[in-house]
Amino acid sequence: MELIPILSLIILVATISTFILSIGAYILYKMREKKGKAVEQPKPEAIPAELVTPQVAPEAGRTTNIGLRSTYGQSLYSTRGDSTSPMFATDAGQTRPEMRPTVLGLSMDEESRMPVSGAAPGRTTINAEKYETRGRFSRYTSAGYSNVEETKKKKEDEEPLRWR
Amino acid sequence: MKNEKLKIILDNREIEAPHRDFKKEKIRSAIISGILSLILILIIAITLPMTVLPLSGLFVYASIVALVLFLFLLLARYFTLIWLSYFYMTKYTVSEKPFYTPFVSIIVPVYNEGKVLRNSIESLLKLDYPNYEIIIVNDGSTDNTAEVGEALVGLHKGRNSWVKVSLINKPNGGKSKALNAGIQYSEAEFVLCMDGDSTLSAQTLKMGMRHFTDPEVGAVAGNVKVENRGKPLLDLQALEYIEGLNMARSAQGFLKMVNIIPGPIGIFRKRALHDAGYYSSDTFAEDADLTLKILAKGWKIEYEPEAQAWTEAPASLFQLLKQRYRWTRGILQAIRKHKRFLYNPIINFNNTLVLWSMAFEALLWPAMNIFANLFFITVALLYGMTSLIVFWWFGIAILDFMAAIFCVAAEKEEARLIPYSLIYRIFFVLMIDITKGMATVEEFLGLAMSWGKLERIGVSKK
Repeated sequence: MELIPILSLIILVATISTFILSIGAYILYKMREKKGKAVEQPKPEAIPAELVTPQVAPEAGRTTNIGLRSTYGQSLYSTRGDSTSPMFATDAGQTRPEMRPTVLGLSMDEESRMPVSGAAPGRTTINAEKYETRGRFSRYTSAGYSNVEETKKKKEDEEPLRWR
Repeated sequence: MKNEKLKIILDNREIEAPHRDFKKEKIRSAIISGILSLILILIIAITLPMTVLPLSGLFVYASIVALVLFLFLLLARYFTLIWLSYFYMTKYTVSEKPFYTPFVSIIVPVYNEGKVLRNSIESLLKLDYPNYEIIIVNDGSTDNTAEVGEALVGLHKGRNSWVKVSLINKPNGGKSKALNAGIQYSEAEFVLCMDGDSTLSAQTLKMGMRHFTDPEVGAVAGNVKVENRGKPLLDLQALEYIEGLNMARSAQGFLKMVNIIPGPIGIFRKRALHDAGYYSSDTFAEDADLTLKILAKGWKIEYEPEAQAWTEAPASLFQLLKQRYRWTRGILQAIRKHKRFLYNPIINFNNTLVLWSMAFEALLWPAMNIFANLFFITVALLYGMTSLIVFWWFGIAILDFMAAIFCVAAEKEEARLIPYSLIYRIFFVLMIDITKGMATVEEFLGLAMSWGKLERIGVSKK
């Protein structure tokens, strides 16, 4: 059969070409990659950010099915840890980044657009309270978020995060 | 409805990985490999005079033995994956899970995705799910992503309910930090993390959330598909996602031990994320790292084939190899980070199994594929045995063809992708494996690498 020699030639050429193409692409990639040492950027523990969120009217948020905080159906199913002990013990003394973002107030753009008459402070206070009453540190439990100030504050919480 | 902008402070902490002394590791690797090489040389020096074969014959004999082992492993791997995947599909088809609709936050991290963000959000608003919100996290984009995102903020009419869309603008810190920011802001018990350039199918949340009725399930991996098809390279990637990635994932799903929750679609229980310490930024495969952390804490991870994310695959060869290079190094970094499970199965046997299979797929498998191809090229060029390569290709093509038919049928995909399986391994997989080999060498040499960015052209059709 002459088909096999023809096929073998095609496959051989294709395989060698694939090798050459891959090595060539790799060399090209290394040439285009930025040279020099990468500067390791500092990793602050907290960073400022801006939150853009729709203003939800209290009536609309609670009566219509906006989809906020609705946990219907959740209570029908238990989560791990509710009634049984966890399969593997969590690492004692270790902390997790579990802060809720802290709201400082309106962003610079909003503040500059606000009239001087003072509508902003009230609204800022309301929004700040909405988040700040939850506390800067919140612990996530099966019952929802609970303020760490209400629970026993551990010394290890203030130490840098560690892995075993 | 007006939007309001608020200044917030985000927690940027993450769990620190164990300190590594790189210099000590390199010295230790050099000493161990040096000792092993000396032992091997001694064995060869002592036993070589006892053999009846000349050196070249010994080389050919050893190569043939290695090749037979590779073929055996190839068959075992294929049949294991296909059978486990088949069992999973069968179980999936006959079992009935009740629908479960708790409140879910969908986190969409974006960096310079101004061209595709709107399409992503529009697909999210079409989800067939009654109880969710969308949180866009702009990771310091330099294009018009912030403007596009801000225009999308508000209360939108979804398929079954109103959906709140919020935006967080933060300084650039990487995908893992962006996801952590969104998870922090979310008050839901469940979060769906996706890529900013992906679109989700309407059934994604509804089908994915069913698995969380099991309290042991910590996360659900979705099904990633290539959206921009039509060219050979893209169709090959589409086939790879179906046959190479999703088949493996459904096989792992049968054991509830999916080893990588894909970045474009992953649904998490917040408690599992909390146990795992959320995303970390010390590897280039934060999805693999997080999955291993969740498994290490004893949570189960399911796979849901109907939770589909459509993503834009790299259109050029260069972009593709760059992506695979990053994936390989990221996965190796994740394996290294969890290497204590490799050596000590007593800590968590399931995790040991998962890590060994990942190490096999990332290290041994590409090396064996490259070796097999080099062997056939060598015997063809040096010994004139050109027909061997045809039989090799024929055997592999039959195997891939069979797997492609099964996977395309199981996922109800396009049948036109099946013929690509004939060149899949000999061309596409070989190329990827060579890139993986280079990436592996660089990772073990400890060479630095950067993230890079995939060029977006915005091809969303859904």
